[in-house]
Amino acid sequence: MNTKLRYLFVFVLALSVAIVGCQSTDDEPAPAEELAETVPAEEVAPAEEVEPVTLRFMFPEGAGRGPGFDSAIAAYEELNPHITIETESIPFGEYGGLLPVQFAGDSPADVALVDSSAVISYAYNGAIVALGDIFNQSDVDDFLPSLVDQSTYEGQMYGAPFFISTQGVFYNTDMFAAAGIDPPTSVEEAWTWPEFVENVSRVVESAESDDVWGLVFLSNPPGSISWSLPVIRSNGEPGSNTFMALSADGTEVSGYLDTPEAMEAYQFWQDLYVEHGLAPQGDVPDAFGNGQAATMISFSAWGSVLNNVFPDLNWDIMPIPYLETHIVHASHFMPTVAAKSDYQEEAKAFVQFLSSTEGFMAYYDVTSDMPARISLLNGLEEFQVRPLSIFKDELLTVAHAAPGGPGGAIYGDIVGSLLVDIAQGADIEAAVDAAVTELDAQLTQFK
Amino acid sequence: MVRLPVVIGVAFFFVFPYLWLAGSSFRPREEIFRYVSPVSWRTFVPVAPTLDNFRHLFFELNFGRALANSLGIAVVTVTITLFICSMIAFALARIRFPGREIVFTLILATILIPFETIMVSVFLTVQRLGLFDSYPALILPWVTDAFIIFLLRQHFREISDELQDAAIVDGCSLFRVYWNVMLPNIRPALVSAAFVKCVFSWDAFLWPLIVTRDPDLTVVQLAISRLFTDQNVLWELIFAGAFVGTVPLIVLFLFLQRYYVEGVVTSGFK
Amino acid sequence: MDIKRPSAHAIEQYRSALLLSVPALVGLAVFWYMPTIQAVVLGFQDYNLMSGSQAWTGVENFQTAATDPLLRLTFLNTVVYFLMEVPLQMALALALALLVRRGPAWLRTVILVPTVTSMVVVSVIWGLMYHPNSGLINSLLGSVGVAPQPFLTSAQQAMPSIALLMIWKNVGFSMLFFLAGLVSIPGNYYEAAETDGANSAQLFRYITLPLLRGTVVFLLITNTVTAFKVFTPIFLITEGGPINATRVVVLYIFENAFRFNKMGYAAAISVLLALFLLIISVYSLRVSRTK
Repeated sequence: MNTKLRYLFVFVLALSVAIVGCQSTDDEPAPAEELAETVPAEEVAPAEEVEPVTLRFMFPEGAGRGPGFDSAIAAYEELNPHITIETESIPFGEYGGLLPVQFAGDSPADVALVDSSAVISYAYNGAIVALGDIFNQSDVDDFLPSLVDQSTYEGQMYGAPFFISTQGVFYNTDMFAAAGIDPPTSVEEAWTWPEFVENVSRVVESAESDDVWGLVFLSNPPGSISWSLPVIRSNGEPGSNTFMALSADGTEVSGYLDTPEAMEAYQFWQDLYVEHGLAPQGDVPDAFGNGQAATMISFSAWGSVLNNVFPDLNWDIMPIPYLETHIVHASHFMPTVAAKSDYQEEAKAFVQFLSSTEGFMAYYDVTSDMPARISLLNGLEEFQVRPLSIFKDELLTVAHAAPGGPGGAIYGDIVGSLLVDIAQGADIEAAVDAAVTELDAQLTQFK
Repeated sequence: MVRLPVVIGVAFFFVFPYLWLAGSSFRPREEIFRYVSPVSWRTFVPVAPTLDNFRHLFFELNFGRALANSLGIAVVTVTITLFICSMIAFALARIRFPGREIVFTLILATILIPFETIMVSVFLTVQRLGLFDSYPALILPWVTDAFIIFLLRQHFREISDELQDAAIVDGCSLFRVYWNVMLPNIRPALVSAAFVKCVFSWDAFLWPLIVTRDPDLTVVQLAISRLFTDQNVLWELIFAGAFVGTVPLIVLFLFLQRYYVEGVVTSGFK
Repeated sequence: MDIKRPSAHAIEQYRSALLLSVPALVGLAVFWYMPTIQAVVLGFQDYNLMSGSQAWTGVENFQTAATDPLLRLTFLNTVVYFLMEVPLQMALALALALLVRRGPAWLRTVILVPTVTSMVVVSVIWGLMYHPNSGLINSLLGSVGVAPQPFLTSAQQAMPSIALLMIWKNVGFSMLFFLAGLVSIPGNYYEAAETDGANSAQLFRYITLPLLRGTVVFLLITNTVTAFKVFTPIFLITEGGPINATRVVVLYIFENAFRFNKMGYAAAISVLLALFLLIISVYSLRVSRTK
């Protein structure tokens, strides 16, 4: 026994030494090989005197995103033979957590996608650089205003508009037909929230099964303000404090999140979960796909997921409901250039290419996402016909950026949990009061 | 002996969420959450069982590579950890030297700092040592484990002094005492430590995420987390991945648990 | 305890001790002490993680901590979690260790299954079981006539629900350490006591417990430290909600460091937490030795 265990020990030790050893010997020749490759390249093209540059490009994993970017990169590398772009694709769920750590490191990726709601925050903290004059006025006019708003800090753009995502209500056409209800087919005809509650309640009552929810989100109750906050904001007049939900300088929420209109909207939000029992207070994954929910609020690309995973489901899309003013949130990741990058000019040039029509089309050939350019939204066939035209029309008429500024991440965090708490039955006055107090205290650092 | 209903009850309490996980890994996607409520036999047993999830994991997502990485990293981590932690634990428990208590307190102190606080500094250290994106980056920060030093020290202390004295009288050096007398006597504690360290290494997730980019260095938990995309959570593959990911550890423990048989340590050394 | 040798041999002993300790101490220095010292230094700074800019602020971060109502709240929440999790987990672990020692061998493995199951999957499964509207636990409660409970969605029940989940997940580890302690107790101690007419309660009280003292101290300290550093399950399951009911200290540290971009303040709280735990641990070790 004794000796056996010892043999095991020794064996494992030998194995470990071998593995570590292999690793280091694998490593050592690598630089030499790289050198061997790059040296002749320089010799071949000495006249141009361009040093080959390798850029690192980091983005969160997403359906088709890898191949899409590979295609855009191939197009760029063909135009710029001295540039090589290496991609680093990160698990989506961890991306937000990894970004600050990698920016804190000595060598962050030269180009990284950053969620539009966080671009100003990273700009404020000096992690990314202003893109300067890579966009001319005609570009800026062609970009969706919500993305320009979310990436502009002190008059400079820090993120490049590339693609965009917004929300719609997916509904189960069989259930609606069974209840004899016709949902709106265009953005102008969108239901108000009370109309939505009334109609969907009838659909749920007439459903065959007892276990059918009226409305689900991607996660329940939704933790991100992208989904929940438009309900509250929509109870204010355009431009009112309720509608803004954050002071113009991004440092104050009292008088914005606690107006009488906002309080009324919180009550409506809670009623949706408690009084009407239409939406689930805990998560029910795949409820819509499995026919356990009549409607689902989700983003534009969700349709292709439903088609792949639940091919038997019959669904359509209607616009997002509202209380007083029609509003949806629109956002997406935006390419940015790291302040610590050694190749900022090259990185900016690549980012400029990505957000050009040409760059987006190289991506779009492989992976369809909605473009951030109005000319492309109006030009591409796919977005002119239902159901995707609903998203396009929302983007061109009622889409706004989520409230942000340098404290956008903190704002999203605290307001997101406030709306979850309210959905789960918290005392509204007390919860709003606590959130407003904490948020005002946190936001003073940006004054 | 113990009454059977108690055994069954305890077993059920611990294993039934796992049965759900195991069952779900054989389900097609549209079935994964369909029978969650109301609860029936369908909640646990796949209605249309399939091996597609495993096929997809291994043939399209290269899950085998991630498994092999995790396994190799766990084995190396556990081995090095046991060696260097048992050596210092022995010194702290059985050799009297000045500053011993201070050294022990300093070691204990490392478990008191939340890793989240020093994560960025450790990350910078790894980058500056040139270990970024390599196997050593995944192993070296974890081989000095204060929990394990503490555990082994407690066990070394409980061995009777006569055993050590007898060995020394027989002319053994302290190293011989450590290796031939002491280590065999704390074998159950070593096995516990190995198991816990193995689980820890296997579960590592945040750290590999931060220090590796090369797809060839992907570990199991990272491979699983890649299944949460922004558009879709691939639940069927997550359940299958989590199932495949736990089996090696369960097998490992089945192999190790014979060291928990009583009477291993009563008779001292031969 | 320790071997008493003439001082002529002392040097030899110190040399051995040093050689045995060097590998571990080097590892600790590089990967723990240096980063920890950096963290402590950060506690006296206003440090911007992303730009790397830093400014000395003296004890300002510690002053802020002294009056921060959220820190007090998160600390109290952590204490509540500790009180719910640790005593029950240890008692259950000891009971299970005694049970599986006499029960079938496969039971040991079964109890360890949750410890090797990924936390992400555990949180999904338990989230569904705890579901306020359609969860398994509420169906079971319903069948015995108990009204549905809100569990994770209620400020009162969220913390106990998480504590129960973590006991379920972690008790196997503690049981394992108790088992390792139990099998080290020489069987002849029991035989001797039994011939003296001791019953099983007395055996447990006068032999098992005292001889498990090292294990108990180890588990008490490590479980306490682990409980005070609880982060992952809360991060994955409730993110501190509902209404801050599960917002614990390390979550607050994490939020300050990576969301509120107050790395210095996060470091200051960590230092305070570590000092608090150090005092508890050293005190427990002292008490255990004097008994």
